[in-house]
Amino acid sequence: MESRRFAILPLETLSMPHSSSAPPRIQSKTRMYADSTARVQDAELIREAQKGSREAFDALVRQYDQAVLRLALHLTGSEQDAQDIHQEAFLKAYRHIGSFRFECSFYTWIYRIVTNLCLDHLRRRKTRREDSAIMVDAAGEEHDTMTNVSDERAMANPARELERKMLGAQIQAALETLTPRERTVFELKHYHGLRLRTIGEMLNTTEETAKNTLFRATRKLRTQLAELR
Amino acid sequence: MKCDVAQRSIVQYVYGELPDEGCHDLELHVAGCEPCRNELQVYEALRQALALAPVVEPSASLLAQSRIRLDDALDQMPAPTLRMRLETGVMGFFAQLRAAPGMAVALAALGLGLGATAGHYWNRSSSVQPTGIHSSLSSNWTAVSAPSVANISQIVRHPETHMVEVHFNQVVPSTVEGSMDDPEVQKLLLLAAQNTANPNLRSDSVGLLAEQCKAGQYCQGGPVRTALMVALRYDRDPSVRLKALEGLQPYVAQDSRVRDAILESLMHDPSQPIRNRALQMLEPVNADSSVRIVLQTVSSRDVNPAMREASLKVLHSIPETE
Repeated sequence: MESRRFAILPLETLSMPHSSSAPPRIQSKTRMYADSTARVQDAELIREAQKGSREAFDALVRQYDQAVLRLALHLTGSEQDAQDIHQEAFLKAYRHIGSFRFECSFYTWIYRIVTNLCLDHLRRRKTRREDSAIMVDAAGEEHDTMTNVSDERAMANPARELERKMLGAQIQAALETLTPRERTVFELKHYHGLRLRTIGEMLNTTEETAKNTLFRATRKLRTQLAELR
Repeated sequence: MKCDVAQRSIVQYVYGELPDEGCHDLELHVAGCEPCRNELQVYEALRQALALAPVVEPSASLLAQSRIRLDDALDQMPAPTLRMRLETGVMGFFAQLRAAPGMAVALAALGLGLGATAGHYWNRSSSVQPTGIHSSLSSNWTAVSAPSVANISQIVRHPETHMVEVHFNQVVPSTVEGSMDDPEVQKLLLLAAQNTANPNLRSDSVGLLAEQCKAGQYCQGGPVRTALMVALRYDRDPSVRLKALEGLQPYVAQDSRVRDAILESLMHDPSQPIRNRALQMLEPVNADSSVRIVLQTVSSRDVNPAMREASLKVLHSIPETE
């Protein structure tokens, strides 16, 4: 179990942007091999968990919880909220694992739960806008998210570091202008590289709707961030 | 390609969501259209600008803290009892019904029929039959065909006469006849495939659905293929599972869910003929990495020596392409 600590996203859920250079072939094959291994192993763990095995469910949690926490953290901007969503998502999965019918991957299923919880959270928060470049940690203390990103070159140059922080704050502010659904679709596509078909499945909508939502989101961001380019 | 179409396609292109032919068309258009070329550059630049705010990985302490919280919460949850599992199963069943309203209607009709029959037998066993009235009706009773009476809803005795008015409901068994592509027929077959009480009925319906799937009809995704996968995984009767397996054969190469279901059968099915057949069916896709992993597992760990040998043979037959 220890060797399976990090989430391996199913290959069919991921897409590669045209603008980025293609990964070396060997990486792609390694990824495919790891993905297939994860799929088969997941099925076994789910069946065990359905029979009531807590160990099997824990193994599934360890497989995906980092990805879940990352998504929740980036969408909510709060460690406390991310922890709450992480816990609620897996408790929900635990309660309903018996009704999992292998019609989609476990990854899609748990992400569907998480994105819906995040959407609810974003909708609730829409009325009380916060500066999401400022994160609230579990102890309730505020700090700038951009300071978490290590950049040794920037650290060697204070002016560049300041510029980077300002850019980050502008991007966060632009992301805040999106509707909860636009934000979620954009997040899953841009930062998590999921396919629009998978995003549609997660949000209980069609690929076409997800495509239109992404289009609207990027247009808004384009307007908001015009001066950055 | 027109500019408005091109500009709508640019976001998909940038995110790798445009099909190959669409990419080709867009690239051709952009090469000869300056406004669209600028638009593409703008979106490329936007992507690069957004890369300045990468996703922050959760810290190790946050992850550890979240895991501890979740573990505590899970510990406090009661272990799933048989009743809870039943409830989950029932909820899952109703979720499936929501996805298939036709099946829900058919089930409701079945429930009404069963209720009516039960009402009939209850009435028969509990009713007090006044001798005078009963005798006057006895000759007609057989004409009404007793088994078709579901229940008696009202009895009105006409005063000063021996006449009585009986209101009753009848159970009318129905038959539907139609071709396999009739949605109503398919719904009934899907319903029969889930009939836990009657294995013969399951066998017949799964057999029919599988035949159709194998012939490449009415099985393009959707409920029929799913029903076969559910039967392969969960049916208690090995002959039903074998039929479901046969029906899935045409989709082993194109549908990874089908392939996963067959791989599970190869690894776990208690029936040896099903495992043998699963092994045969996987041969055309034995270069697939998930198939190879399972073959390696079976060839090294399976309790059945014949199975180990057969898997090893298939493994050796895979050309070294990598």
